[in-house]
Amino acid sequence: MEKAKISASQLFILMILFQLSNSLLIPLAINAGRDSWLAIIIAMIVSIFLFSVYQALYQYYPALLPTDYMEKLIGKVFGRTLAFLYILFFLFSAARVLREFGVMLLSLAFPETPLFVMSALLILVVVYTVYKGIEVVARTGELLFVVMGLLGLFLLLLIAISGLIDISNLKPFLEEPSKVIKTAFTETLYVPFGEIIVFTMIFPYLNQARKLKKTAIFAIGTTGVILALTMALNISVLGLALTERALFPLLSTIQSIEVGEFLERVDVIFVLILVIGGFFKVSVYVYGAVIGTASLFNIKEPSRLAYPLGMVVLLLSMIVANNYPQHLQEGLKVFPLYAQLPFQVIIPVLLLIIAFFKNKKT
Amino acid sequence: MKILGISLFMFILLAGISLGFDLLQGFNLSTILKTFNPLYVMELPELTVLCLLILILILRPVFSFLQKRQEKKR
Repeated sequence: MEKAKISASQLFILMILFQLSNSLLIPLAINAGRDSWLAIIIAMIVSIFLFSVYQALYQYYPALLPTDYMEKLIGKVFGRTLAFLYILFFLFSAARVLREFGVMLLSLAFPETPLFVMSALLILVVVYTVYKGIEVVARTGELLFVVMGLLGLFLLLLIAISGLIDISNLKPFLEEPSKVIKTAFTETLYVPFGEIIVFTMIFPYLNQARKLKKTAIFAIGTTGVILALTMALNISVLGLALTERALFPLLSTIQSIEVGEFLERVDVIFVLILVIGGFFKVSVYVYGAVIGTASLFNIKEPSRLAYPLGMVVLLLSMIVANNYPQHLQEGLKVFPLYAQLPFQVIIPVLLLIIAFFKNKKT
Repeated sequence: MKILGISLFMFILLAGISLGFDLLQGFNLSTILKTFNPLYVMELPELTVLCLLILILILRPVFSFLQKRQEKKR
């Protein structure tokens, strides 16, 4: 573990940037139809309980990384294997996010640039930040959060002024309640809310441990409300059919902004917001993998792992899927069931049960 | 060298996992293997960037290894 400390406000900002990033890009909870915003709110509430599991585990071992306390809980062999699997999960998730942002940049702004070059540029910035440590990641977050927030508010204002919002597109309300529940529990709970499992690698760096619960719940709540509003906005502007078909619904919404016949094509601002978010998401995942690997393999300088693991993420992002639709399908059907459900829900709950009984005995 | 070994090991495992996910989605092996190789879809500029990145990856451990050997000789 590196010798660094971050404040509660820095953690709050990091959590918001991390959760918002690619969730703004993809059609989140779209299987719930017009009620996708409701599915997001339900998933947000459930994820607060899920966070309580992560937080309870942290309370048992506040000074240790999850890769270390897993060894204490389930033994050396199983604990180390599980920790290694978690590192692989973080790297795989980072590669998936990198791919999404690479494709987004290519399809919107750089159609002639090869995907690999675009992803390489992004990962090199990530590698440099991770190399500098968590304090630098957190401080960069503070700086860019303000930029992202102001730009986001500006876009919201433009959408409202241009008169695109048609609330009737959101009706009828609760057409199929079973679909809403199913989407919340099978998709939205894992992306973006369950992804905060990677923050368990950062919790030990927090300088005020008692503020963790309040900070994280506030961050999850804020993200949930922003995402629910975004999806409601997408559907009310584009209509359900177009939102379902769009690869990047928010992008289509922003592309339809036209104020006074002179203010158009503000999608560049959206790209800027997303690149900021994507950079933080990949950075946090790679950072989690780097410190996890350093503690697991006894590497004295974790920063030396940043570049090699960054290259692993880069190459993996190229082979993670044949094309973008396949990548989306994998993210909706296979990845949640075989990776996110066990790593984000089942294993932490089991570890908490074991920790409870182990600490009761002593 | 240890770091390079760990990274390579992780990449092989992750590539295998990615292959597994593709199989679970119902794709046949020959289709997956075609795009499974990242070099397969790359053109000359991409290959140049890749070679440069790999060179940087290898140079640092080799350089530190040579430095350590020199120090030992002294």
